[in-house]
Amino acid sequence: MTDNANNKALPLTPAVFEILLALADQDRHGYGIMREVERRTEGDLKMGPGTLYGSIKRLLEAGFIEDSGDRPDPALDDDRRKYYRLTIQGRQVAIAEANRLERQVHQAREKKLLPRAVP
Amino acid sequence: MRISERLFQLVLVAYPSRFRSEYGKLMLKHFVDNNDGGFRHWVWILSDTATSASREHLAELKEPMSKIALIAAGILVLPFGFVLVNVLQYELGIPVPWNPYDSVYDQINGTSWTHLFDAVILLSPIMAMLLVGASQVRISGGEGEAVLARVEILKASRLAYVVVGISVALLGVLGLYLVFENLPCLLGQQVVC
Repeated sequence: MTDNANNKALPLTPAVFEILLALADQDRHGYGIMREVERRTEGDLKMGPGTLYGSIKRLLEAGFIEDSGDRPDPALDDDRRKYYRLTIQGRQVAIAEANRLERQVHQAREKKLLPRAVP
Repeated sequence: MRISERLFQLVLVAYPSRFRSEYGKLMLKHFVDNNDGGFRHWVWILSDTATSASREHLAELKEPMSKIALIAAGILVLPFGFVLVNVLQYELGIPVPWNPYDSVYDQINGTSWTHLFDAVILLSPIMAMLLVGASQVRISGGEGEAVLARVEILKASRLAYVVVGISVALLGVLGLYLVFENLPCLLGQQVVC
């Protein structure tokens, strides 16, 4: 996917960006994604089942995530769960969104809304 | 299965049937893992359902199959209005302030346009059903396999079922009208038919 195509997908909704972030380091199932998002946002963002699976559906259709055939340990896990992983395209879009947010934070610093970053 | 799980399965009915069949079990598992049984949890679940279910319905309406079902529903407006107004006015005796169909019929009565008008009213539900039916069938090539083509019947949306249901009901009512209006003629009891 080209940079231009990545930029077309931006800006991502907070829920979608959080799901991509949750999958950036490891494959997770829906409930695992929700727990990771809750942990990272310290409970500020709690996704209900409808929001979570609606976002997962759109991410699957866009090709940003895919169904991961691997299961960590089937004996320890519930077979009703489905694991998802980030695709190359999804990783590129997440990076593009992170860059966009970084530019916004930079502008906020320029406008003195935030203190200057300590080098 | 616990009562809360049964209740959540009822909540899932708010979602489009295709979304439910794909994600319903996963959502139920998510609910079970996260359920603390409290009132606040249910308020959160219901508010999430209200926003996400309406979003999924809107997304479904944008799909080509739903667009065809919407067109089919539009085709049904004319015969549905015709049957509704005439049943209210002539069968139930409820006064209707303005019967647009009578107004049109008075203008074209005695001309060949009346046959066209009748044909449009009668054929519209059939057209609507054919449109919806055709949109649910996907034919793809065999792609090097021993089969010439593969025919798939897709899962229908709720709107498609509603269109087919209303079409069948309209055809039933129109059929009864035709039979009872023409029965005296067929039995030779009426001179002018």
